[in-house]
Amino acid sequence: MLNIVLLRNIIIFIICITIIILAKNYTDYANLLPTFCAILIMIFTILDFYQNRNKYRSKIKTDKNFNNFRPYIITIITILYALSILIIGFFISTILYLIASSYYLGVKNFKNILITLIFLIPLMYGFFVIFLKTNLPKGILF
Amino acid sequence: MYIFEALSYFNNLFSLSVLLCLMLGVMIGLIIGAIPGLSPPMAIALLIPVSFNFPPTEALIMMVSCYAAGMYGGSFSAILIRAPGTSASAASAIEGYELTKKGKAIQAIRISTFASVLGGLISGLVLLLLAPPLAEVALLFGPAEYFLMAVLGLTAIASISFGHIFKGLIAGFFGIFLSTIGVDLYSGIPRFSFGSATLSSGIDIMPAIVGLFAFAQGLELSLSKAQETIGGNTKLSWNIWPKLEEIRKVKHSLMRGWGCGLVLGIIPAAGGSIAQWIAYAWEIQKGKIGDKFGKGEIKGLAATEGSNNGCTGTSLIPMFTLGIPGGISAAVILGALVIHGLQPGLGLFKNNPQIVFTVIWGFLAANVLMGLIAAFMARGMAHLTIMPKGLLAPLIIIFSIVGTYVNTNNIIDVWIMMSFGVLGYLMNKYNFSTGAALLGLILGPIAENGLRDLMVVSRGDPLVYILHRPLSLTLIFLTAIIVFYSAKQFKWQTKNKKLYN
Repeated sequence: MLNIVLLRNIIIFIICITIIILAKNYTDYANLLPTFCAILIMIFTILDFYQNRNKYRSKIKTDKNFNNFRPYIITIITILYALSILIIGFFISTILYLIASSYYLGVKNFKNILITLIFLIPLMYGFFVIFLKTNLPKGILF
Repeated sequence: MYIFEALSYFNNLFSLSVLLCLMLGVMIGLIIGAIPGLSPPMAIALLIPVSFNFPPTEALIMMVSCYAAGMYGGSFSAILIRAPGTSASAASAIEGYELTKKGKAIQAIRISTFASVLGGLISGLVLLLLAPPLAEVALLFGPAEYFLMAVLGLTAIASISFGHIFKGLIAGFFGIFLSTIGVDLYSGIPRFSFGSATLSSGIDIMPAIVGLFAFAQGLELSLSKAQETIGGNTKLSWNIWPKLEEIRKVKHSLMRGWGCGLVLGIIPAAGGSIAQWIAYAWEIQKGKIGDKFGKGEIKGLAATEGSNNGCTGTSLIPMFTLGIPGGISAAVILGALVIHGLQPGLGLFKNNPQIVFTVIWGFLAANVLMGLIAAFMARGMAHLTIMPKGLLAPLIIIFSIVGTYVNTNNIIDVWIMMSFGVLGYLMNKYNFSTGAALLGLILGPIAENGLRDLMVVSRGDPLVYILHRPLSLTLIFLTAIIVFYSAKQFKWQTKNKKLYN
């Protein structure tokens, strides 16, 4: 636990020092607020560490279950989805994304996914394209 | 005389075209408000072309109805899936979602509806009866007061950190730092934009809210088993009308929420986004042993919901009487007002009383109508809580993406939203308050611009300038009281940790 907290605090300090260095170039008091925030963040990080030092030193069993990585995998799938929206179009990408992500999360009943899609796609088309008249990306497909 | 004149226009509401516009505005407001990323200003802007088909009275009624309902609609998604539809419902997501997780989704919605409808009605009545005298209060706000109001708002961070005060402060100041990204209005220097045109224009609040709350919620739900539901196995209640005992329990919270909304609504640029956090912080300060703030406390929800709709009516006061919009929604309505050939200002009440008073009556009627429609929608919407998380998580993410994209038609906003989403997920995981970060992001520009304007108008001597302004002194006094009570509460909590828990 202590190592994780120390690593987190080091990252926070590096970000804050970078902010202070970058802000040095700004004139006409434009550097004041970012520098002020960075300094306070560093102070509060130290105070938090000091206040919870005993808690952080205690050994907490970390759950090494593979499921803990799910949010990161979902983020990667979502990045691919956002990229594919521009290439193959919004609706096709959405159908593929819903199937892929639900299946990955453990929804094995395809009937449920199909029912969701049957309601979702026409609803989104009707609301966003027909009613709001927004230009959802079309890509090379629909 | 003024009151009798206002009352005499009530009959104008009962025409088919007025009722149609009222209904249309409320329905669109509720739907768009409930979708994360789509905001009430966008809904109102979409209605402008439609409004050309109607006379000015009907057109403006449609817009103010959409504004009131949009503000309330955001609470649905905030309570049910922790994905606030509007910036003013972000605080409601904290207690509302915790109540939903306990299987009390319907109870949360009925209290939210009660608080919002009555808040909107009180706010509308203030608008109807006290608009011209209250307009002068808005004019009292100068740079010093804006700066001090932002400081007052920031004191809420201590309360919404739930025992992790330093982490809350880190998150809050990180939010303020994020608000400095973009071109500095005073020097013209782009700050932390690294040559990117998108970053030069600063970080928009909407992608940040959608990311920090909705997208992060999608990621958090992905940790659960696919067949699990948010509400567990609890059966959804049919009782959508608030019970007397529930109202009795939250009556003081409601009053505090409405009070915050009414006062902050009048101040241009403050509005529901700030009022909700101040009301919530106030509520926590007033908490008693046994209250479970942060874990599903109905009092907290009542206060936040009361405040965000409590400011809808009063935020229209500076717009109608001075031509100063209280927020983005009011700015869009102001645009529509001008497009329809009306001149905002006190003259509007003298030259076009039939229009302005009928619109205000329409606003009041919209609050009642939205409550009725919401009561019927509540149970249907609550079905989201019995949807398998394996399907709900991707759906929340899809709506976060489409909502953000549609708002600006810019894919870069989607990337910003996703970055905030991952950040929000990590913040929740390590107990850094996302609410505090959002509060910093909202209040940062108000504080910075207020302080720098103050330095200019006070000619480098802000202290003397502030000491000569009674409103500034009142704000300093209020801030001191909150800080004093926060420190006292913090000390008390540390001493009696076991008892408090």
